[in-house]
Amino acid sequence: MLIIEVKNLTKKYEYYKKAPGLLASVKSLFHREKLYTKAVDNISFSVEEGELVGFLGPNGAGKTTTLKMLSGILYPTSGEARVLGYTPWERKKQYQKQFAIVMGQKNQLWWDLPAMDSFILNKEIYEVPDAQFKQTVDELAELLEIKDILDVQVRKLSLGQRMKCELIAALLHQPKVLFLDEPTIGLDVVSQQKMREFIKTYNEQKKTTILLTSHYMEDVEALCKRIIIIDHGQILYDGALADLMEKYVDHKVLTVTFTKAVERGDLEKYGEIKESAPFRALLHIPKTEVKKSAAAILTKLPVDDILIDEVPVEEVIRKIFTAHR
Amino acid sequence: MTDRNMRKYWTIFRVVLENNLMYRGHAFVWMLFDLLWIGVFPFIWFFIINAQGGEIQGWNNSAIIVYYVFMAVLSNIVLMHPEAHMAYEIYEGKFSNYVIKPHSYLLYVFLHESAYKMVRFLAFIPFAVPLIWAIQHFGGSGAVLPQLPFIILATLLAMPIFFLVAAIIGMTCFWLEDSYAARTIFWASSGLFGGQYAPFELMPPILNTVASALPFKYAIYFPLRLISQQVPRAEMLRGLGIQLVWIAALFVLSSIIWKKGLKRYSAVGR
Repeated sequence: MLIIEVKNLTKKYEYYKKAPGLLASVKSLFHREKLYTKAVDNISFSVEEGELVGFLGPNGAGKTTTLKMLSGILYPTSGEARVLGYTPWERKKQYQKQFAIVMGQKNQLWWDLPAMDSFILNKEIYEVPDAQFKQTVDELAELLEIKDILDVQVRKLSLGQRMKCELIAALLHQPKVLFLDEPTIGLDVVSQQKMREFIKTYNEQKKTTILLTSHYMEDVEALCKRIIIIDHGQILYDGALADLMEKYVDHKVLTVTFTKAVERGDLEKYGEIKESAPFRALLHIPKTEVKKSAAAILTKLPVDDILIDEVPVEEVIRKIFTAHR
Repeated sequence: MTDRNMRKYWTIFRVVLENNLMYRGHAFVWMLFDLLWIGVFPFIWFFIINAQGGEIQGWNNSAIIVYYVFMAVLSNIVLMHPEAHMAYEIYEGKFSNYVIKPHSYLLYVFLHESAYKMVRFLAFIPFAVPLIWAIQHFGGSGAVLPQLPFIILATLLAMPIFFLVAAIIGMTCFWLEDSYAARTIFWASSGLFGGQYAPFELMPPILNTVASALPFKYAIYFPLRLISQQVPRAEMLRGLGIQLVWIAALFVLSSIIWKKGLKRYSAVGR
């Protein structure tokens, strides 16, 4: 069943151009040049129930603007979107009770009060029954390991603890759709890992449809089977993460360390040399040639160790963005 | 309003009140600031009124002290200023948190300001005793007691008038992003055309003419006049009628601006 349907969605922002300097500031009092930028440019996609889709793109690509339109914060300039059968920017209460958005860079918790106060507030706003509220808070606080900090003022919590509390606040009403905008931004590696595990488990257990944006490829690789790549407001790729690798990657990465110094010329015939030192080399070898080349290197060169890796997803995506620009 | 909604908005009020109590010092300082009206203006008018033989245009020392004391009461309890809070939330993008939730933002802002006023009221209580004494000392306002129901009604109606105008000013942030200029104009004009500096009878007539076309007079001066002076019943009823008209007009206007503003909202900073 389709949960999110987006058709030809466009969002244009207007802004004013002003040259730097005092004279330009005075001039701008009388005349300002109005300009427009397309943050989202005619995008279309759909998401099935229970899917966890990664929304990838560089800064200013249009990811957050899309999430803001789908959550009803922004009106689009043109196009259509239906989430759970509702048009988000109509802001119907029935829709608002069924989705949540978590933004990694901002919070909804009351800064000077304990997180529990914000939870109680959300409980009433979303009309969550007492028993469900208690069960959800207990369950999520246990899962996120923050039971002991729920009565501490939010401003005294670490960023990781705050993000976990933000997630609980957003999930209290058990939304069917969850928009996560950079949920791991600024977190240390341990907290990132915990957050990822939590999102994965939650998606699997509750079958919540999740649209996630992140700059961290680890998030995407760990969580998303499907990704949508967006840049300059346009979708560049929409499909399985595995297919992306198949489509855009034609080689594997071989890292070889030697017991004796090896000349660069001895390596050239096996593939494209990316790094070369007397005792170590990094080569890009066509996928079809990997087995043959690895066997030849092992037999003909003084190999101490050899590693065959996939190209990092990050590099593939960087390649797509570079090609697009 | 259903029980569920009552609980929802009561919880919002309670949480905001808790938050405001954390910043009670802020409320206390603003309460003192509003007391300045009593510390300066009545004494200037006492001097002028006494020099003019004890009464000008129906205003004597007793009426003047009541006018300014209740100005402080009005400022501390009734006249809400949601414009700065709204402007900040729209400018910072924090407003996004509210538009995605199943509740009324304007009602939330009203409760936010009500909770703040409650803290101001608590801070104001210790000052009430000397102020009551001052009223008694200068002759009291016993003569207006028969019009008490009208005073209460006019004060209650003043609240939504001022709140809606202030909320509309806050909404200008949808277009202006930084609405500081609009807010400053609002503060200055509400003071001048609301009668905060002096009753209109003691000011140039042109001010009263302009003020009669604006809502501030019915949010500030009108309830103050009812509590300071005996007013003919017909004038009281006319004033209450105009208050109701302003509430209806401002409600419609704020709804239109709200809908248009939401379409303009760009959620910057988020």
